[in-house]
Amino acid sequence: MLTFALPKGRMLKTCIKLLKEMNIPCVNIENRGRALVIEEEGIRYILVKPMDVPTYVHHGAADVAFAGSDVIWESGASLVEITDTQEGLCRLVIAGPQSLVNLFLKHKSSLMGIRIATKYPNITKQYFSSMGIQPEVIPLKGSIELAPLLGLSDGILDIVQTGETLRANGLQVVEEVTQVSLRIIANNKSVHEHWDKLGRFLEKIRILKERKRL
Amino acid sequence: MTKIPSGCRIYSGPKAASIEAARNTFLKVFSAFGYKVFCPSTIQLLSSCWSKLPPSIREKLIVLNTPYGEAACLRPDLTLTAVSYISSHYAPQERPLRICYADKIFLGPEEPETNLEHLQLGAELIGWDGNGADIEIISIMLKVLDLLGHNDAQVVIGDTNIIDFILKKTAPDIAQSLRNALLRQSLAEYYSILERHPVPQLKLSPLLALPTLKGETTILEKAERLLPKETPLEDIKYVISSLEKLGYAKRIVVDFALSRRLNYYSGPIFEVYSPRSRKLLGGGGRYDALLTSYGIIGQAIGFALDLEGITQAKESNTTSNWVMIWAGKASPKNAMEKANILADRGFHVELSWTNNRQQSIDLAKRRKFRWWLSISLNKIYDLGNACEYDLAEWLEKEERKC
Repeated sequence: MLTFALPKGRMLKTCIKLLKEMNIPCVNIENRGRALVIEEEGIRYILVKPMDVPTYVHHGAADVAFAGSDVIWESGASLVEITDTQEGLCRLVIAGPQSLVNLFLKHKSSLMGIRIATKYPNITKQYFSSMGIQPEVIPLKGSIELAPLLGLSDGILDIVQTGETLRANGLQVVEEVTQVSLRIIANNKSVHEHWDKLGRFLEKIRILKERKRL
Repeated sequence: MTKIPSGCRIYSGPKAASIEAARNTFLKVFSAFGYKVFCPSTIQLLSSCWSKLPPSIREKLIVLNTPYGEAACLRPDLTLTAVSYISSHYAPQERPLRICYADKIFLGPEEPETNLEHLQLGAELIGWDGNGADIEIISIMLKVLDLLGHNDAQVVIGDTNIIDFILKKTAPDIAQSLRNALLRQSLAEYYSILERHPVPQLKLSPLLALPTLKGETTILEKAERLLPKETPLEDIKYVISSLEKLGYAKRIVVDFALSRRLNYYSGPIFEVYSPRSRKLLGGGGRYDALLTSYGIIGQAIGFALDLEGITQAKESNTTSNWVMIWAGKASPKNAMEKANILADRGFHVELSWTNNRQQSIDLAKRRKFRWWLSISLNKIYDLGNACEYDLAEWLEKEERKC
C-alpha cells in the first residue's frame, strides 16, 4: 500500500483537485470528517501540517506527498522531488516597510545584522549568507507581517501570493528569494519500490501541464 | 556522566550486542575473502582531505585544532581515509589491495536528522581491474546482509558513466546544472532546466528518458531502445547479469539516474535498501577518478553500510542462544568449567551467583534468556517452552543440530 501525505489547510483543496485530475481515487478524503488517516483503493492518505510533510517523507512514514517547494527547502530533508505541479504558485520574498527598502538601496554592508522575522529560519540564513550577510533571524509561527510594524524586526521573509496582506500592513516586496510551487515528493526508498506508480504521477502531471499550455 | 553531547549516542544492552555481532559478522566474512581490517585515525588533517571532499561535506566537517596546533577534523569519510593511506603506504606491486573496516564517521547534522556520529561498515577493493571486482564486492556485501537478516535487501544499481554520456550532449553549463539536479534528486528541477534551455529534439529524448529509467532489470531493454546506440551500457549490463547468475535477480533494481552525494564516483554505483528499514542502508561504487587524484592509476570499488540501520532488524533475536548458569551451591570451579564448555560451543553465557534458585530464574526471564542451567542438578531448562533436559544429552543434541 502506498502512503500518500497531504498538507492540511488551504493547499488541501488544490491537492484534491490534482488527485482528481490525475484520476487517483480520493473521494474518501472529501468525506473524511476528523480522520487523519484515510484509505482508498490501495492508497493510505495521511493529513499532516504542511511544514511537517517533508519530515514524514524523509523518515519513510510516507512514500509520496504533495509539498510546497518552500517547505521542502526549509526542511533540508533528503527526498526525491518527482515533479513540479505548477500549482499553488506564489513567491518567497523579503518584504518590509519603506525603511527596509531604503536600507536595501544602500551599500550591502549596511544589511549586516538585519533583523528578519520569518517562518523560514533556515532559508533566511542560507539566503542572506549567500550574500555575505549575517542576519538576526526572529523565528515566528504566524502573522509575520506584524513583526516590522511593532519594531520586532526590520523586515520579513515570507510567501506572497497577491501581495494584498503586505499592502494592507504597509509593507512592500524588497527582493524575491524564489518562486514557490506545489511539488510531488517521494521517499528515496519508495522511489525504487513504487516507481511503477510514481512514474505514472510524473507522466500524468506532464500531460496536465501540456493541456494547460494548450 | 549523565549528559552526552547533542547528536551523540551511547549504546548498551541488546542494541550494543547486536551492533557488535553485526560488526563481527561483517569483518569475519570480508576477512575470509582476503580483506584486511583497517583501523584509521579518528582525527585527520584538514590539508589532506579538504580538496577531495564535495562542498556539501565540507560544510558539515567537525573541525578542530589538535593540541599541536594542526588544523584537523573528525573523520568525515572512510573511503577517502583508506585511499589516502594506501596511496602513501603501499607500492604499486603490492596491489590489488582489499581492506574492510567497521568504524565511525563524524559529520555535522543534516536536517531533519540530528546525529553527529555514524557507525559504518565498509570495504574497498583497489587496483584489481575489470568488472569482476564489482561483482566480488557487491556479492560479498549481499552475503553479509543475508547473514544479518536482510535477505530481502535490494540493491539499486546505476552507472555514472551513462549519466555523463547522456549529459555530454548538452552545453557544459547545462550539463552541470542537470547533474546537480540529479545529485539533489530533484527531477522537478531537472525537467525545468530542460524546459528553460531548449535542446535539439534528437538530443532531448535520451535526456527526458534518463530519470524515468528505473525499475526491475527488464528496464535495460527499454534503455537500449530509448538511449543512443553508443551509450556505454556494457558495465551495468555485465554487473546485473553476473549478479543474476549468482541468484540475486529478484534483489536488483536499476536506476539510470542514480547519483550519489559524494562526488568521487566514476562508473557503476549502487545503493542498498531493506524492506524492514525505511531509510537507505548504504551504498558505494566505482571511484577510479578519486584514485587518480591520489596518483594511483587503476580501478577501485568500495561501499559503506549504516551499521545502526542494519542492526535494527536483528535486535529481537539476540538472546535465543543465551544461557543463564546458576551456580547455586556448586563450586565456582565447576560453574566456570561448564560456562567454558558452553561458551566454546558458541553459546552466550551469564553466571548467576545467587543462592536463591527462583531469583536466578527470574533474572534469566527478565533478560529474555532462552536457557537456564542448574550446575548442581546438571540440568538445563528451556524457559520459553518449559522443558527440562539432562545437560550432557542436551549438549549432544545441540551439537548434532550444528
